[in-house]
Amino acid sequence: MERERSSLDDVIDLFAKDIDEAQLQAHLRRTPAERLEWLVQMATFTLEGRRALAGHQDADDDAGPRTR
Amino acid sequence: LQVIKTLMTTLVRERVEFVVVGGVALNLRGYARATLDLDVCYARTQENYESLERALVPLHPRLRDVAPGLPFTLDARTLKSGLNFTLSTDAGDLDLFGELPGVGGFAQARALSSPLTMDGWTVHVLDLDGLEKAKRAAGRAKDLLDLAAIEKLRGV
Repeated sequence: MERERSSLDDVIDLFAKDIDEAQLQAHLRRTPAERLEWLVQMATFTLEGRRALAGHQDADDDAGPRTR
Repeated sequence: LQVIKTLMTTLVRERVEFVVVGGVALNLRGYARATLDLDVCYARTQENYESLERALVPLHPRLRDVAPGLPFTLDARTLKSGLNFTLSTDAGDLDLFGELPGVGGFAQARALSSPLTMDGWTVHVLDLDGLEKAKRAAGRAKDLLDLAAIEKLRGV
């Protein structure tokens, strides 16, 4: 049986309009193994960025009070 | 260590019965969506608890988002006593679902999945119908975006 549409579906439709078609098609052309590699790369970049930011913050904290 | 991939291959190697759900499943189904953790729905059998213990203990699993130092041991007994676990491991974050909201347990998740093969190993991945059920049940802002992606994927 078909589910009744709700206001949530209208919001989802709006979001769907903003999804980049070319980007979607590009990912669909990848094999599952390539999609996983893409995901691993994205996760690695994000984690490396977080670590770099945390290191920067630590160095800042160790520097003691700032003087003008 | 390659986050997510190492966790998946470790679970496969130790013959854990599981279905990939969540953001990784959506990515593998065709939507370029980044995520940092692997979500899986696992079978609640004694044999599977033992397989999970064998797979995860070498990766030093600990509870995520709790006070550091809180005593926790992931073993077959803990898995049997609990249900859903949010973990950090040496190979990245892992969410274990004994019951996936909107979908059910492993049998229901498995029925809504199909196998995908990558570089010689195979995992069961929740399909778009299963992902839609799970995302509707979760209902967070990011789930609405995922639901939009699922709608879009159905149209291609």
